[in-house]
Amino acid sequence: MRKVPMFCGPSVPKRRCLAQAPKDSCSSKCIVPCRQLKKTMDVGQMQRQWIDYTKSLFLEKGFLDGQFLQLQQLQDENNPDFVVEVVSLFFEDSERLLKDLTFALDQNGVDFKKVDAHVHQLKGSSSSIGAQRVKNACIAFRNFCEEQNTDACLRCLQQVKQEYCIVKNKLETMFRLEQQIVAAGGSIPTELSFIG
Amino acid sequence: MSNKMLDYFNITIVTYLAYLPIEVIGDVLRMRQILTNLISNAIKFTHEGRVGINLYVVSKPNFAKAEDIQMMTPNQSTMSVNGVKEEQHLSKPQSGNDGNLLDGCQKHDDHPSQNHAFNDECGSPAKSECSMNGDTEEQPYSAETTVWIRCDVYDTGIGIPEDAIPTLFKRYMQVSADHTRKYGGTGLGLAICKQLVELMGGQLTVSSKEHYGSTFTFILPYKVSIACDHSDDPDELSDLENNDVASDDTIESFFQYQPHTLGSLFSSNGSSRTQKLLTHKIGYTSSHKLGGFSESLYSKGTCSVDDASSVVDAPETSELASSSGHSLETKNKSLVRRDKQHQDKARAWSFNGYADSSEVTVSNGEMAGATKSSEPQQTCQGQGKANTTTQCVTSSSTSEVTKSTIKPKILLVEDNKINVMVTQSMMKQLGHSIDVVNNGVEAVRAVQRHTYDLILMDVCMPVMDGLQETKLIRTFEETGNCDAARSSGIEESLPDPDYECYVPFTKRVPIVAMTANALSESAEECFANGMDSFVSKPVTFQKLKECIEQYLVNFS
Repeated sequence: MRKVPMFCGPSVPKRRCLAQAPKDSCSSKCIVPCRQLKKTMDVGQMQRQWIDYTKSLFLEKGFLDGQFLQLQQLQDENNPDFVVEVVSLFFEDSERLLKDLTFALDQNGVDFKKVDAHVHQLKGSSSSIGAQRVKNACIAFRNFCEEQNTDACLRCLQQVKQEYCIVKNKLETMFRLEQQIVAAGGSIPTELSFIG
Repeated sequence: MSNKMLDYFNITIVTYLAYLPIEVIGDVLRMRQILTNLISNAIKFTHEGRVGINLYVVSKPNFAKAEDIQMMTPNQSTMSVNGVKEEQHLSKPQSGNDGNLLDGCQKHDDHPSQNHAFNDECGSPAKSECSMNGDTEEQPYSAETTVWIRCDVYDTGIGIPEDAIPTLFKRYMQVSADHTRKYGGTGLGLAICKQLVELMGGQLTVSSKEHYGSTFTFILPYKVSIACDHSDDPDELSDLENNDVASDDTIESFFQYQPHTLGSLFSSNGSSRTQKLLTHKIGYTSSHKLGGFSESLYSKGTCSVDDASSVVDAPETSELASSSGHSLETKNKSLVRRDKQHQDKARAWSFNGYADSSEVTVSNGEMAGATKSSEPQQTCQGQGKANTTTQCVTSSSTSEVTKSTIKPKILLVEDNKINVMVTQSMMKQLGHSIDVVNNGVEAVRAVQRHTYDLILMDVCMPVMDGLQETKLIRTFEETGNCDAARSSGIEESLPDPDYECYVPFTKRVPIVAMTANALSESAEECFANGMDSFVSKPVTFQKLKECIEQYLVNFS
């Protein structure tokens, strides 16, 4: 019945989801069920959505890589919020590093060693949590640090910041989805075996 | 420490000693060397299961029959190292006679190379030298009653690949380069054992199945003791304290040979141990007051003897039999005493340090308890680890070395907080808790404070580079040893290559590099700097699991 898939995520214009009946699930592209439907959408559906969304993060744009799966596997009853914790730590750490990088590259005499050290850290942590695109941007960044090319470094910094923002967004969305699933009494699917 | 070491090994030490109702004479020094080497190897290469020693009397083997009468025999100038008390006279059958045979085997005088002398002289009894107590040496080998005793040292360890067997006993040969890296050692132990066994007129062979275990067998001829000092005197025990060993005759003869013999097997300037030996021996003959003398023996170059509990450190600090032997004796002394009270015919003899002719301390009472009981006498032959194993077993009175329940101590050296969190979580899932330090300096401090079973080291860190850090730790491991050895009066530069393989595992911690750059060049660099392996970043659960399995094999 619905012709146009409705995207109800935070990053898209808020439109009412037009699914009318409980059995009417939002299109698979609908990221977050609207509040109106929240109560009628069952947990299973939410979980499927979550899976789809997460999948897209991996497969479509490569925002995340297999390392992220490692993190998810570390989450269990003993460690129920592991992923959120690690990722939050990553956000904190990254923001600090990005700030330091901005500062360092803003200096008259750029200390490339320091810049490189920061980028190295960022590369390490993004790699550890599976933020693939951030990591790749850092690798490129480091090459220019070696060359001591300030302009190129600034461009890289921009790139890194951008990638960081995107992945942060995606992850936060994912976490929100998760919260909703849990709130509705469901559990986060642990099987994400599509990534080898 | 000994407990820890014991726990490292999921190994049960078992012994089987055939009853031998006679007393035999052999070369204790050499026997000890051979057994120590074989047993140490067995323990070293066995991650779990058993290390065993079997002793049997066998009939004259073919290789001996074929040989000339000129064949070397351990010429023992009667050194029934009776010495004083401790002698378990084989002729006295007793319950739990296990010790008997051992005694026979082990009681040797320190006539190192009587064998050498013989050999050099093509077998003809070197009259001048062998004139020791004007004893039996004169007599041609064939006229003496000779008993052939076979000893198997077997293990359920990693085994030896078939193609390595032909070169196994060659000098400097180790099964593979990887082997060397993992297990250390010089590759000289077996070559020396073979040489010794052959010089004594015997044969050393091996049979092995890769991954299942190995058995090293040596068969040696021993002369039957002619004169036995079967004293049962209770005051023997009192002399236990005194490291005494042999009778006058033997001591004298011992003197004559000492300089020749030891020199030939060791480096040209002789080991410092040799020097000490000579010194001791000289003092020894002059007086029969073994009591006073033995104290000096004890005090030289050994770790604390008095405190049995401190034995723990002995094997670590020194690779010499003396320290471990002394310590062991201390422990066994108490056992012996206890047993003497309980058993009329209880015999015990002490296993003394290198400096004296050795006697094995066995407490018969202990032997009643199957496996464990024989352990003291057997394992005390070994040094280091073997000794501490014995120590623990006898003191804890458990019949078997049980599987380790101690958690391995793991150190993570990593500065990135996220990496720390991820790695820590993975290790937790693998069931291990880890210590974390953020830089190389802290890592060195941590290593000084504790002994770690595994170190995971990030190679790119601020403050101190991971590679530098590893180099530092390796140096520390070596100097740590030396310092300890020095403090116990033993020079660390003992040119005793065959004992190198006795450096306890704990002293060389496996260091695994964690590197984002896993290209072969950096891997080479890691190894060159003393790292054992590397894990490429980002660290995954599987990588850590494999690492643990490889380097923490002794933990359940």
